[in-house]
Amino acid sequence: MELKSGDDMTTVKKRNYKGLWGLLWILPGILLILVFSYYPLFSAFYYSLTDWNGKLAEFIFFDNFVELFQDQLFLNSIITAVVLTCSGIVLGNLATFILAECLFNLKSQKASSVYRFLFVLPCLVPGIVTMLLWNKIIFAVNDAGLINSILLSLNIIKEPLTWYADESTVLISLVLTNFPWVAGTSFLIYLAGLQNIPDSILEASKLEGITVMKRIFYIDLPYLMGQIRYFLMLGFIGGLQNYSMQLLFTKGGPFYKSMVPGYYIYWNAFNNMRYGYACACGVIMFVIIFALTLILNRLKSSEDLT
Amino acid sequence: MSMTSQVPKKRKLSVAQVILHVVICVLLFLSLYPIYMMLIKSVKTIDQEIHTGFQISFPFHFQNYAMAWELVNSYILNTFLIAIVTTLGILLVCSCMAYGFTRYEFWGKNVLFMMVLAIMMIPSILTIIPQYSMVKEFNMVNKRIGVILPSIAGAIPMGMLLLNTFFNGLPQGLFEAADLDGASGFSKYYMIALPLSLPIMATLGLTSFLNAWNDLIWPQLILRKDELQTISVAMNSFTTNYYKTTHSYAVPLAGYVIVSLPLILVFSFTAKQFMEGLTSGAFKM
Repeated sequence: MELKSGDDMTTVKKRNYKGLWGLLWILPGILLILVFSYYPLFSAFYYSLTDWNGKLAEFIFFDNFVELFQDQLFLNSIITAVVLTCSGIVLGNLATFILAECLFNLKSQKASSVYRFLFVLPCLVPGIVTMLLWNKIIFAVNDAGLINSILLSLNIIKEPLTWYADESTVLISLVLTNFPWVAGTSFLIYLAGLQNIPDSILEASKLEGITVMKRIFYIDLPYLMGQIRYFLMLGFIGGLQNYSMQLLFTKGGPFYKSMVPGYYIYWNAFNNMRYGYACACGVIMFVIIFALTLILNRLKSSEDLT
Repeated sequence: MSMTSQVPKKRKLSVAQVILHVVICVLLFLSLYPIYMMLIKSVKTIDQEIHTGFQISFPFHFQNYAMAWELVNSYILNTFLIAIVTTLGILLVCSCMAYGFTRYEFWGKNVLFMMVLAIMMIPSILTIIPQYSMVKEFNMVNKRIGVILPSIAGAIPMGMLLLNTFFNGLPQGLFEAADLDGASGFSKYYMIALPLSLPIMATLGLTSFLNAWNDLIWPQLILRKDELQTISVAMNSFTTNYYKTTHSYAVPLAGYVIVSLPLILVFSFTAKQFMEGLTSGAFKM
């Protein structure tokens, strides 16, 4: 750097000097994302056109993609992920919205804040512990499992069900996991949205004497569009990529019934050493998620209301 | 409205309130039941576990906790080390970036800003394989830094955006006054920007800590040695191995309670700020 600090510096030089300082502040972050985000992004696109096995990579043009579009396992895994994601989004948002409405209409502020704390509590338990509780205790495969012992004692089933380990019940078990899907912090965000509805509108609706159902549909829901959009976006992006249950317990099985694209990528790369093929799966998921984000972005936002 | 119709309406209202309480309590019961079961099953002997699987049974067998502590304490330390360094790294890097973007003008600023935000559109399942092979090239397998650096990089876009919005709202006059006093860029960052943004830093810090604490994929890929493993990776094999030898879940469950405690303690001190941050209305699109 040629510039020396001093009184004889011209303003132009001073601005340049300041500009360099600005770059210096953002440099560590920029370096990190260049190395750990952008370089992997471009190499993923490059490697999706190769038969990379972790060491050697030969350029094979679009062979991976041709194979992918005939790969029944991959195509089915997308359908499975869509089913799991959509049911998760619908059930989860419905349940958290109902909880938020209940808390919002509660008269006692004190009870409301106690409830709020208690509903956040379960998400402080490490995620792995929650998953293990559902796998080893609630949906356990033998008659010591909670659901099995309830169903057996009510004489609904004769033999204990094997939940995650049976191809006919694995998907429904994955959807039912974490029932009633309200614990966490999402309901707080809906509650915040409800509390932001102007008092004058709620007062007017009370004076008009409209029913609770009508108020929910014509006032609450339109005002919550911003939050709903946020959860749709987050739910789709996160849901389509999620594979922690598969990684820990089902391994995509039984009979590939719970295979999702995220685990298919992991499995192809780290079990089959087909890094290039896995990158091609990733590229297709990137295109799907990118398109979804664009579509969701066009949905009407709550900002349009005011 | 006449007086006669006023009286039954009031009673109807309180019935509605009771129904609300009932609905909330049913949801609460179902949500907390797994935790309750974890607690009561964690103090059972093998015998009690077989005969009274889902009820409270006396006497409590607290030896399970002593045994579990021996098995899980190193995993807690490992997870804590990684989570705290990752969180501090995220706070430092993101606040510096947000400070640079809001307080300075420089060539290519907007392009660089968009470049950071664009990463949010990239799914992590696309980049995980090249990232992994790069971390391997850097010789960071079986080293904590191999988990920490990618985690910090992954959190930059969201964290920077959050702090950037906040820094933009700070009163301009404070910085101008400091300029007149001849304060350096660093002292303005350290004496003005940081202290004023403590609430948003707390929200970002807690979310980052929670994410790092629960991270599964990276520790699983990078930390192969048992003495480096984190809670997320180790608890599964610990449970399976213990069950194979004893056919009991009591000690693993006691272990779950122990590994859950640190976060519950952290949050009971910060619950108010954390919930305020979430209900501030910033989370919408």
